[in-house]
Amino acid sequence: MTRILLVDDDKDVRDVLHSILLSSGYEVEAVEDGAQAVAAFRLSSFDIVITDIVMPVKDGLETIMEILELRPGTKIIAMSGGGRLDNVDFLETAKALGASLTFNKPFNLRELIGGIEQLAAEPAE
Amino acid sequence: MAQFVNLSNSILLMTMLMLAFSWALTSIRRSLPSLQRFTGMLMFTGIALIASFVIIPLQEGVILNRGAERLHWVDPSAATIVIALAIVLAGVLDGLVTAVAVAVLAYFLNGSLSTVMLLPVLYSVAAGLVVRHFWGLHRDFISSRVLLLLGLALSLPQAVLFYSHFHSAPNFEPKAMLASMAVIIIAYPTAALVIGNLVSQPYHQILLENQLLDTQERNRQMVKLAGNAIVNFNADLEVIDYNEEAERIFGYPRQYLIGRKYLSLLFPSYIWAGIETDAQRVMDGGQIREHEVQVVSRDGKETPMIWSFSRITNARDEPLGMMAIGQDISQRKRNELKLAENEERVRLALSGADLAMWDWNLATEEFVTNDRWADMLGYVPDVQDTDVASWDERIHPEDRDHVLACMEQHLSGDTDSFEVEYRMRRRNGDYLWVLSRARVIQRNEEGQPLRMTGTLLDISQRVASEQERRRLERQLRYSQKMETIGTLAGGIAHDFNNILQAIMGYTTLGSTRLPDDHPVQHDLERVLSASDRARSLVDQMLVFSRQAQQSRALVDVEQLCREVLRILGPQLDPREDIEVVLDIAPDSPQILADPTQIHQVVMNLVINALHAMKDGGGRLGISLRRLDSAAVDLEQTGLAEPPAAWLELVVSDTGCGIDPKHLSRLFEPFFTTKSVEEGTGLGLSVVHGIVTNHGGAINVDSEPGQGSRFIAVMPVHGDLAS
Repeated sequence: MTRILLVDDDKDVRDVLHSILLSSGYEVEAVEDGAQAVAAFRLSSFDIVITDIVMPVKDGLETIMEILELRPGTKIIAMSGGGRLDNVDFLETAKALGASLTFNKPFNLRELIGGIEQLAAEPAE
Repeated sequence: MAQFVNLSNSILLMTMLMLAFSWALTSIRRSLPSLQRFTGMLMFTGIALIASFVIIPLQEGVILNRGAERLHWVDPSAATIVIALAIVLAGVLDGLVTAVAVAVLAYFLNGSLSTVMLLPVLYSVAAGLVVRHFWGLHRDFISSRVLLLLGLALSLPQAVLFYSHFHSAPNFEPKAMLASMAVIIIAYPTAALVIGNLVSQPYHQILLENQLLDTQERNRQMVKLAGNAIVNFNADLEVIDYNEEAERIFGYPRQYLIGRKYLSLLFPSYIWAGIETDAQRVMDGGQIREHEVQVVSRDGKETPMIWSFSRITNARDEPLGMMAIGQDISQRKRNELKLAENEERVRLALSGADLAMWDWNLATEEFVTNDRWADMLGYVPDVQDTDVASWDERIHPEDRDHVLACMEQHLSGDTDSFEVEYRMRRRNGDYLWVLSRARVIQRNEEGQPLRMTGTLLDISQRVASEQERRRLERQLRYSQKMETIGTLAGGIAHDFNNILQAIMGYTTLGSTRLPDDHPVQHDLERVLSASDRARSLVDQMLVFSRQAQQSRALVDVEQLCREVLRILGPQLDPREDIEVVLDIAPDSPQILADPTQIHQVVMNLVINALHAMKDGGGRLGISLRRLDSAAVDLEQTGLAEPPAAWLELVVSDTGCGIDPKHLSRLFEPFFTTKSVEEGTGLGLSVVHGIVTNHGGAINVDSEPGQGSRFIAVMPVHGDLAS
């Protein structure tokens, strides 16, 4: 079964994503910020990491870097509600750091599930 | 027979003259050395002139060198030997003077200088020059063989000349002619041999004496100028002489020490006893070489010296005395000292540079290290054994593969040197970052490494500062983030998008949980489409707010503060435990700013203050005052030029205060100590963004349990300052 680590500091978003992923048949662990994500990642292995970018304690960009350092080739989906301001596009940065897919909040959950299915079908690196 | 006797008489006469000459030459040389140069010339000239009167009668009626018509008084034939010998023995000038004298004599006494007269003179000069050139006295002693050759050379043209005269004589007798010619050919070499030997004798003696004197002088100079001290002792071991170098080292003038037994003055008494024994041993036939003895000079200066003592004997092997040759080795000692100092310096430099060194002999597996190496790894020098195996075990597991691969590459000759940074385990288990540099310094013919040396430099500090730099870079990224989202619109947009995500997400979730034909599906579709409209509205709002940010208006901050208190009235009024103190200085100026944003600043700060006092109450303070231009450090603000004045806004509370560890991150976006439900954590980052966007600065003073003071300053435009 595909194991997913979900990272978002917004409880509503976290809960709804958690629910939809569970009902889509994935094994999900949900955490509040990047630090918890990295800690969880050290303890257990995940096939896909879905992470927000702007978070307290440890932001999504750092989280992506550290996770890929711990296990290169991990599939990552980045999402953000604040990535379209001025010249800095966090999602572009996330992609450059190694994220496979990115979503601007708010996005359609069906698109997300489609993306996950696509990633899960790819052979692990 | 008569002519032979005549000739012999002539030779005898010349011999006698030569003997007299050589005696005179010797005496003159001894008594009047200055005349020596001329004695040869005078003597040879005199003898040649006398010899010119010797008429050689070869046969009755036939007289050599006498013309038919006229009697010649002078005949140079016999003088030719003297001329040639003068050139060979005395010198070219002496010989030429002699030859000219003979020619002049012949010219005056004979009345003319016929060819017959001149030719023998010229010929003898030529022969003399040739012999001198090849075998002259200035090169070596004249041998009898050379003298015979000279005589023969002189006799041959004489014989030819004689024959040409004899042939035309009226009473020509071939037999008598042959006999006479034989006499000439025998007599000339004989005369040359006898006279030459006699005359060269004193010259030989002069030569020998000169050579001896030269050798003596050379030896004297050699001893005098020798770089070594040389001391001569007689058989009783009294000093006879010593050279300049010895004089320099001893510091005593020669006359002071000469004649003294040994040189006891020069040596400390405890050394002297040994030297005395040694000297006696040398005189008994022994020899002492390379004996290091310190010499104390007259002024007390000590000179380290190496001495060799040898017995000197004469040709019959009888002892003449002893010679001591000593070398001043103070320079060498100084060099040795300097070398030792240099080594110490290199050692210090290496330890000063904190370089640990190692030397690995791959053949014997010997691994030698310096003290710093042990020190660096937490060992006591000299108290541990270190083999190569322990080196690679020491490398941090994460670095090991890479380090060993690099080492393998260098050992196999693929790389010129080995240079890697890695972590090395210390004795106590800690890891130390080191820069390791090494190189194979010896390989066998097949290129296999035999010996390798290297250094280790502790770079923990550098690595730590690199980590610090990375931390700072991270902070910089945070501050960039703060600028990006830390604006009012950006913060709202971010939060709003998340709320929309939740709305849209739950709507979709709900939709999936209902059958597709359920009547609520249509309603949920409407929620999703309305959410889409909200999303585009957020985008539009962002565009609008970025334009609106540029606008500035006159803002009365006092009025804004009162407005905020009024808005918050429903929350404040029920709180009887909170006292609100508004302290507005009368000269508080207006500022040029975005009224909505300044409103947001006051609102956020006051809400924060109330939140800090939610348990236990306290005093909420809001104050405004004017500050002079110089009162604010420009570096805190984004301004290049100081404004005319500043407006200071202080919002204070007597609440719980802020934990010092949070102070540094207080203005970061999404940093919050509140639970997720209570706030987004954007508030203070928005305040920070607005204040700095207006060219101001914001700081916070806080004591846990005592409360906090947020102090914002904003520039006042020139016209508004007064």
